[in-house]
Amino acid sequence: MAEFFIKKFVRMIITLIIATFAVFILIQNAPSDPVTMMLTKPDEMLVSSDKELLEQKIQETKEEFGLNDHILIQYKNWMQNILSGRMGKSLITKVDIASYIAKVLPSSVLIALVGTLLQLVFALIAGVLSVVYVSKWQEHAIRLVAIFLRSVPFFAIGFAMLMYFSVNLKIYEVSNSAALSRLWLPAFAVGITIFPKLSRIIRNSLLDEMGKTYMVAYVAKGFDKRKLIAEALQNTMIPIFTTLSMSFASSVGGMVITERIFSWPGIGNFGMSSVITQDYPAVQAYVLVITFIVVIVNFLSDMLYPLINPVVREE
Amino acid sequence: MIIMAIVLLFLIVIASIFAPLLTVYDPIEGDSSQRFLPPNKEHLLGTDHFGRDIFARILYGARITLPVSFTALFLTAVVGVVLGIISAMNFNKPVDVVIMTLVDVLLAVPFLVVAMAVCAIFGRGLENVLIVVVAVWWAPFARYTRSLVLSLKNSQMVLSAMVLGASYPVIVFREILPNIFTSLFIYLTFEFGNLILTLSTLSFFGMGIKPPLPEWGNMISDGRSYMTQSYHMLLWPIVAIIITVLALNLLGEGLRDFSNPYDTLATEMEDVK
Repeated sequence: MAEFFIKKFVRMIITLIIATFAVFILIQNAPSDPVTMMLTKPDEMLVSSDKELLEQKIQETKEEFGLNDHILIQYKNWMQNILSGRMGKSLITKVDIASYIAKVLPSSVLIALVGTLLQLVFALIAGVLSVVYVSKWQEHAIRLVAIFLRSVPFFAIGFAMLMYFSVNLKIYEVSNSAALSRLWLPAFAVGITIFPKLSRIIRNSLLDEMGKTYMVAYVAKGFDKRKLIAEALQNTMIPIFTTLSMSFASSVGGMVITERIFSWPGIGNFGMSSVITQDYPAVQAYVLVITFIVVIVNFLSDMLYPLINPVVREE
Repeated sequence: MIIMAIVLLFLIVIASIFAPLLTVYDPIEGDSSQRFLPPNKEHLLGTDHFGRDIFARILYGARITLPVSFTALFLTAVVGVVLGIISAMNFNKPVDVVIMTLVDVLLAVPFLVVAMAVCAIFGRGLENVLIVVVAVWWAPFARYTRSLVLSLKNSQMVLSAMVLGASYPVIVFREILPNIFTSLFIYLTFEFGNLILTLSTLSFFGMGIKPPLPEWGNMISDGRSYMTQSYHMLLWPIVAIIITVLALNLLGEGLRDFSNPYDTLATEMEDVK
């Protein structure tokens, strides 16, 4: 057991290091040099003697900020800053990035959570119904609906729903607050578009279970269909759990489109805004936070995995 | 189902190739006196904010969306499948571990995030988008290919080929590839649909193919701004995307049914009341 944990933990650390280093290198290649920007005024005409002075000043400032150190040392300093919460200030709004992210992150987590729950509900309904009506027209209908939902770009569905519920039906408020009353529509849109993948997994796992020997025993005992499916569902918890946790992990930061369309003040929206305004420190902080969340959530779900899968527990 | 999908796809491809013959209107230059017309006899789907025929733009848009997505798919698939096979054939050796850790890292971050970050730093052109796609999307391909090859690796035919002294390239090309081809092809079909959706989402947000080139994603973005004046600008590109991806998904599902016999389990269920 301990070996299992340690292996997963080491894997997580390595993944984090590689990912953060990649982000670091990416940001280093940003076109503007911050020191030059700091020391010169735009449109300033420089005489050659001034240029030498400027070069000297640039070098001094770089030394002062540690920008001439070896890249690994810069990376170490940068990581230390990040991990202690100093992510810099936004270039555009001059707000401290770390505190802003801390403020908007819970909203994203909230919408990801509800969206994932709804996805589970829809997928369970669709999956179980597919099995109950297997090979009949109902199953084919469900399947066609699922295929159709996978063919629509999310921004189209989300936008259509927003328009319909706020303009036509007037029951959805259009604002940019993270109010609980505004939570249902984006979560519903997300759930509706993502559930086909999970429902297919549920359907296939259930059908696999149906063919197993213990099912024959239950049939012989006289269980009706409903009870059989309930028993089979218990054994499909594992693939459901792994899929759901991966989906949740990538939803927190990946729901950029959703948050953009519904004006939901989450971290995805923040990331998109910083990309559009080319706010490099903010973009960097956003990618980092997302990476951390995804890797850590995956790690946590790996940790929980032995709880639901007794086979792994025994090892 | 497959037949329907293949017919649809065929029609779409033909329409895109023969676009200049099917419509006389220019997709980029517009006639300002004809802005925001609803569908009529001359303009099958109406006109947009520059007076360009929407139907023409959709046809020409296919000529942009389809080849670009296909190129991205092809490059990504080649990288992913090759790395997946290498990884699987060297199972648990350092090469495999390195590739799989890389795959884990790449699967960790949601694609849109990385694409946005790269576009923020390096600019929003199509080349950057394609580079990001290939650099990130090979990971799921590699993982899938690796699991396919691993399941074959200990099968009778591969083991007997090894016993007979076949070298690795021979095993890969004559034993493994033919057997994973079907599953891979189905997977590629679905991923093609996903790529079209993702690329149009990116161009909707201004990254990738930009106006005035008629790509369906940026047509939707324009349509959103002028929604009140003509909903047709918004509607038809969405329909075009849906039809194309739907055809691809139907094709994939049909092929999957064809190659995956789940019927036996289904009949067992039907006996129980």
